[in-house]
Amino acid sequence: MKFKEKALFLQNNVQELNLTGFSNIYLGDEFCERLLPSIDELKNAINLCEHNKLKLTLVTPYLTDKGIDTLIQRVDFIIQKELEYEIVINDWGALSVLQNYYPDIRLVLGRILVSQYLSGYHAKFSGYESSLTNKKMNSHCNFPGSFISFLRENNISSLEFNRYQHLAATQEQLKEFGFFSHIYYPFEYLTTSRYCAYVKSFPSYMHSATQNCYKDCKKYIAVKKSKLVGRDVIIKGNTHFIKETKDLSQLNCAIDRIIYNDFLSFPHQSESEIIE
Amino acid sequence: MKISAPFDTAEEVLLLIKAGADELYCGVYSDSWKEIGTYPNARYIPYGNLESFQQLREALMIAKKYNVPVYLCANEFLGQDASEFLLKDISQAIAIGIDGFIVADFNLIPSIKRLKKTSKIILSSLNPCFNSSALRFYKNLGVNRIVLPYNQLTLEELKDILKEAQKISMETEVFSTSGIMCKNVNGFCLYHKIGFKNLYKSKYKYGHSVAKEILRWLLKAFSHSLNKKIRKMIWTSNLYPHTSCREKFDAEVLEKFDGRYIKQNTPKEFLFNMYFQNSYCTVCLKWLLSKVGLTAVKIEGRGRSTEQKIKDIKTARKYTEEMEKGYINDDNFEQRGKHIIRIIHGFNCLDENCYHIVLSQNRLALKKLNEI
Repeated sequence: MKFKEKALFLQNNVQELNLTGFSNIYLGDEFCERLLPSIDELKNAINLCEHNKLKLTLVTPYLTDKGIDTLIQRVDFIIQKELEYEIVINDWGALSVLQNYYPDIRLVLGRILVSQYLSGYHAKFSGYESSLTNKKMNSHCNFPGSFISFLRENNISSLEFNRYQHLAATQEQLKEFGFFSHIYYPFEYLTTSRYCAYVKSFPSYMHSATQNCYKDCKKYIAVKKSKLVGRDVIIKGNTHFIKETKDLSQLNCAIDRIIYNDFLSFPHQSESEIIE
Repeated sequence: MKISAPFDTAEEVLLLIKAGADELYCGVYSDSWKEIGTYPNARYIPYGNLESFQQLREALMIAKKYNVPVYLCANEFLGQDASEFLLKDISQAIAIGIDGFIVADFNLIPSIKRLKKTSKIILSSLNPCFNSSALRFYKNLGVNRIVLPYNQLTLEELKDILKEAQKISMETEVFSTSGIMCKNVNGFCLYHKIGFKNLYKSKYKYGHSVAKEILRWLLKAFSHSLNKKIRKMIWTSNLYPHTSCREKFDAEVLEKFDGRYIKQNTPKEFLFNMYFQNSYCTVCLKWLLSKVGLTAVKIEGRGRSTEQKIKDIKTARKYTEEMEKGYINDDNFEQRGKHIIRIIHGFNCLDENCYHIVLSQNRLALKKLNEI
């Protein structure tokens, strides 16, 4: 199948990008408020969007009070610009603030909050290849009606997914209620913490207000050889990821937007080409 | 400051109340949930839950005699069908006199309030609150108390949230002596949800607890440092019921160079362990948090032995009593905590178990809090 929209999660090397076929640029981070873009990074991304006629998506993580303040500053900057934009939220406090201050902004529910409803896979249904029939699996995975109502009341019309199985299991429900579904590819997140693996010190110092962050996560990755996961787990800063190897375009699943978040390489390059 | 404690059987209730619990909480995992194939709360082990609402009724009868409120855990994000089933459980619990619910999915709140307007709603740390705006958001949804993701916040951040909570009359709670060793954001972790390996294996249920008890006695013969090493070895070995997140692993660090990730000649060292070596302990931090209006502390441990729960309650109770009597002050709050742990638990408190702060930071935090 073809995806209706293709988005690129900006990593580095902005000038080298070939953005043909893309509709959105994603900027920001889902897991660390220290990686909310600076004003300069925002300017660059906005220029890139204007030059390539793309929409900007600002991705926000779970936030402390300090992070909320930074978010407000960034949004204040974006709304002055004449471009199409939206904000992905992964924190209910951010939803509340954005709706109060900027009621017209288009909000997208991020994959951290959507993935909280992954429990349908829990217990007996663990693992990738479920033996359940689609019907039974869907009844477990469908979002509760109260959650759907909540999203509609709050004008959230798009949901971002971490795993395509979760999206596939809920797609009929999403279609019925007119929601758009986005999927991150190829990196699914496994876990996140405010204890950053890259700040080598006693845990309590790791995220203290005075702790300097050298943003090593932009420069390094660590590959964890996991026997139990059955594949490599990639640790990037405070978050663990696994790489989805299936080609989503071959799946029979209605996906409105695919977000390429390959921090190892530009889309469609194989991992072996990247890691020596 | 209230002490909230878990129970898994009706027989435990009286013992926990006598040990000093002000409030109790539990889960019910009835046979129907086995058919559904999921759990109604975040304790994915049958033995961490009551088995029926009859047992809950018996527990409530005892608790009511002592005016101790009981809360039911409904803290799991469930799909449509299971969510409807959970509401039936909630309805049953209300009918037999439950005082409130610990929920993770705030979308349950309107339904609970429709069933009983005065039901107390406690928001689980599985729906973590990191900022004051989220606190107000939850308050507007009808949350009465919030369990803060204490191990993911600095004291400064916690202080701001607690101050805001006081302003909007929201009760707050953090885990007290706790067995949570994980450093991940509990509510956002998918290691268990996508189930590469289940968190607890039932076959370990009895064997594990017996082996642990034997080991505890054996380890007494070793020196403290050796004891610690052995415990860590067991924890990271295949002897322990593992999840993929607790697996021992080797990580290779790659550096980005000229657009590609390459192996480093001189490997950079990062701290990858995603768990605390031992259970963390927040006993003496009650002093710091009482200054900013913390309402309750929560004893973690549904599924743990009654003996362990009683010790944890007694520790928290003893410390809060000493605070109330004025025996604890800025100069001795750590020493008193350490002393109480040594007396009740029989081991020495280690700085590294203090998951928030070691001594020097404690002092710094205290200074800052006193400046408020």
